[in-house]
Parts: sequence; structure tokens; C-alpha cells
Amino acid sequence: MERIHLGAIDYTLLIIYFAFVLGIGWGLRRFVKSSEDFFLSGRSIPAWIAGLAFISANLGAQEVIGMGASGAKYGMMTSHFYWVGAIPAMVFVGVFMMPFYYGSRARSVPEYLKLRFDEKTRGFNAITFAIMTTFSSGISMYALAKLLELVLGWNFNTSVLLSGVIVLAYIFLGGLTSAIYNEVLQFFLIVMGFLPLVLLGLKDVGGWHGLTERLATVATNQGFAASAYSTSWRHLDSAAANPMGVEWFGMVMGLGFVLSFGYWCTDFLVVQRAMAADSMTAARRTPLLAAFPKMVFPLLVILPGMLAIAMHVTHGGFLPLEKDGTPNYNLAVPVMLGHYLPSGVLGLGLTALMASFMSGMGATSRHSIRCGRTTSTSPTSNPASRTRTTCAWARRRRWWASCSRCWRRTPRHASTTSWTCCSSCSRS
Amino acid sequence: MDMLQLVFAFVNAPLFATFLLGMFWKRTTGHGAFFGLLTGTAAAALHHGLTLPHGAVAGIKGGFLGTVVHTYPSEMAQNFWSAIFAWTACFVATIVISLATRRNKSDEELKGLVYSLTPRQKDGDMPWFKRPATLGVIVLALALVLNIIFW
Repeated sequence: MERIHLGAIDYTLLIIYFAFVLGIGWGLRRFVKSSEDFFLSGRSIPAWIAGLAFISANLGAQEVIGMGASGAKYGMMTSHFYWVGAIPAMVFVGVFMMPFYYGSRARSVPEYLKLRFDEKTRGFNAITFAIMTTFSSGISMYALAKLLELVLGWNFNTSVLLSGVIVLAYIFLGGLTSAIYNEVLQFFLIVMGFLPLVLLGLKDVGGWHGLTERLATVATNQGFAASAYSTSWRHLDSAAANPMGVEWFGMVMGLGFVLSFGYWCTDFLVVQRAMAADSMTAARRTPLLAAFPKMVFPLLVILPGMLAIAMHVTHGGFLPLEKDGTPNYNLAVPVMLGHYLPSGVLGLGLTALMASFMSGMGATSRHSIRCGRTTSTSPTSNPASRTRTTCAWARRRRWWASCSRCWRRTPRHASTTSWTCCSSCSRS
Repeated sequence: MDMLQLVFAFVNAPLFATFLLGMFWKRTTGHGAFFGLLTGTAAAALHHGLTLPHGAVAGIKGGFLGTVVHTYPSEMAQNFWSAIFAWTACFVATIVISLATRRNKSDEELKGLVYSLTPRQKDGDMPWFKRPATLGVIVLALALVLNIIFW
């Protein structure tokens, strides 16, 4: 395969990005005083920033590389992961679940389970989460190192170590606020890096029409109907008729209901983004605002994969092959980046890719710290002391006068949480 | 990608059943939640251990329990069904065990943790375009349109 050559300008962009990431962490460090600040950003983030972070926290490497790979492997059906497997669940989270999360004393899944049920349920969940976290950061680290090794010719061990060190550094420096601002940056990086890729690719194959014609060859070669790779629902009546091998019930029930709601409702990596919003209404709007960009993401992340497989079959040998002769789908996006983007824009695209890896690993590692801390501190921590913590933040934001007034007025029984107080007074 | 969905099927699928019941049914008990989760995860393991995706060898891809009762056309299909089994098993087991055991939390302790015991959000005084419900409907309608365009 063609190896991607990076120019000086591409390296410069990568270095600027890493310097910037660490700089944000350093700059925000002095604002982080308590664990509330660290994990929930002191609840000071406006809804639209929380929304972009919400979507970016989910836009990890598995998403960018994985959705491209699925686009190449399964074609247009991959869009079900968005329009069936994400949007309805995001709406549900915003309308029904967020009032609990934002209003309750729980700040993580294990913490909720402890408060709602008992210690053993929390313990069981902490163990399965630990295993899951290990798996997914392992997959991320491996994928990143493999990518750098294959595409850029970097040494495998060095790149794993290097990215690990940078991720840890920025988590410990800044907590969630720095992660949130980085995620907003990452969102724009991905759009700027991937949009030219899609446009150039589409221009090359002759637009959407040209793409469907080429994908028809891909489909008929494998014995499917001509439109199997370019439509989403048409071939779902039987599992044998589509490349994903799923029928409509498994799709709607398995992906659309169980997996998607399971992910969006219980994954605190993303839910925390909304909980960092500055009021209950902002928190509820966060997943809903995030749903708008989420809906158009298939264009950015799935289309490159579909373009890659179309080129692979009609040009021959665009993608490198696995040992068993099937194309290596996981390299669809990196190969496309190397093929289409000129020096400079390529640096931007690779930086976007690195950023998505950072966000994935950063989020999971922060989550392990989170779970570790909930285990060590009492989950039913005194609400009054938490009120003080949040009000301390509010004072910094010059809400002190109204906030302290409100705090004195509010009866301090167990269910009155600090932020309902502070957010209500910041509104009034 | 496929691997990640497998992990979700084992962990998040049963957990979602527990959350759903925990948040919307105050009768759900601690024992119900714990043994429900256990049953759900076991169901995912059982399903994964007894099935294989087409063309795969027994091991990490499934079929590790000796016999293969069903072969799926793809890993993705296998994961979707693992998730369905895990969720259903957890949902049913949690309800049955909760009904058989005594509640371990009072209504007062569950305030803010269960839907029926949490004060409702009043959206009435917001302009219509800022209400979460309105935004939700707009989002769902747009998603429907996209599904139809690429049908």
C-alpha cells in the first residue's frame, strides 16, 4: 500500500495541536479546586458547548475509524447506527432521563446504583465497568499504534507510550473542563479534516450517482441486489439479503432499542457532558442540540468508507488486503486521508484522527478515576458541603450575591441539591 | 467496531433494563437489581457461547460452550441478538425477584431517583422553541426524513 508521507507543515500542525491540548489543561488547572470542579466542571458550561462536547465524547477513534470501516464493509446500512441507533435514544435522554441525572445526587452510574439499590449492585457494576473500560481503551490504544505503525512507519511501542503519556497528562492537569474545550476543538477539527475528503472523493467518483453505480458492482460481486450497499432499509426483510446479515427486528430491537438506549442512557462518559451544563434546562437541551450534528455525521464518517470500497472494487487494490484476501476495512479512512488530502490539509485530517483517539482514551481513563473515587468516598456525601462547593464556583462567576441569598432561603433537606439552588438563582 | 458492540451487549444491555426499572418502577428492589443484572450478563454469555458468526472458529467470537445451536450471518447480527437476550433476561428476572423480595428503600430515600417521586420540570413558561419536548419532536422528524430519503 502507499505509505502516507507527512510534510513539515503536517508535523507542525500535529505538534501545535498537542501543545494546545496540554496548554488548555495547564491554563484551566488553577480553576479546578474540588472534585466537583474536576468531574462536573463546576456546572458552568453553556448548553451549546456541552452539546458539542457531548457529541465529541462519543466521536472517539472507534467511531471515526470504525464507522468508516463499517461503511466499507456494510455500506449505507451503517447509517442505522445514527438514525435508528442514536437519535431516538438521545431524545429520550434529553426529555426523560436528564431531570434525574442533573437533579439527583448521583454523579456516575455506580453512584446511582448505590443510592437507588444497594452496595452489591454497585459493586457488580463497578467490576463489569472496569472490564469494559480495559477492553475499550485497549482497543483504542492498539488501533492508534497500529495505525501509526502501518501508515506513518512509526514504532509501535513508542507511539502507544507517547499517546498514553499525553492523555494522562492532560486529564490530570485539567479534569472535565479542559476535556470539554478540547472536545469542542476536536469537533471542528474532524469537520475540517473530513469534509474535504468527502467532497474530493465524491467529485472523483462522479457524485452520489457515480458512487451508487460503483457500489452496485460491489453488491452484485457478493451476490446481493444492486442497491444493497447504497440503501438503508430496502433489504432488511431477511438477514440473507443484506451485507450486515441482520433482519429488521434484530435491527430495531437489538440496535435501535437495547444497544442504543443502553449506551446513551447509562454511558456517563457522554452524560457527564450534559451534567456539566449551567442549568437543568441547558442540561436537557444538551443531547437534543447534539442530535442535530449527529444526524449529518454519516456524511462525514460513513461516506469515506463507502467511497473507499467503491474505489477498491472498481479500480482494484485501493485498500490493502488481509491475510485471507478480504480488504482491510479498518484502514479505509486512513488510506482515503493519505490518498486525497494534500500536504497541510493532511496534517489537519491526521490531527483530527489523533484528537478522536485522545478523546476516546481520555474519556475512558477519566472514567476509571471517577469509579475509583466513588468507591473511596462516601456516595451519600453531605449535600450541604456540596452546596458550598458549588456556591464557591458561583462566587467566582459573580453569582455570589444572588446565590447566597437563595441558599439561605432554600430549606436544606436531603433532596435539595446545590445546583437546583444555584441554577435557579442564576436564572432569577 | 464489532468487538465494541459485543462488550456493550454484555455490560450496557442488562444495565439499561436495570436503569429503566429502577427509574420508572419504585417497587424494584436491591436484590432484584443485583440478581437481574447477574442473570442478564449470564444470558449474554450463554447466547454468545452457544452461537457463532458465519465462517468463524469457536473462541473469542463465540461458540465456546462446546455446541453451536445457531450460526448468524455476521458478528453484528450475533451481537444484536446477544443484547436482546441479555436485556430481556435482566428485565424479566428483575421484575420477578423484586416482586418476591421486600423493598429496601423508602419513598423518602428514593426522592430524585425514581420518576414518580421526582418533581416534574415545568416547561410551560419557556418559549415553545426552547422546550425540550418540542426540540425532541423536531429531531425525531428530521431523523425520519433522513431514513426515508435513503430508504
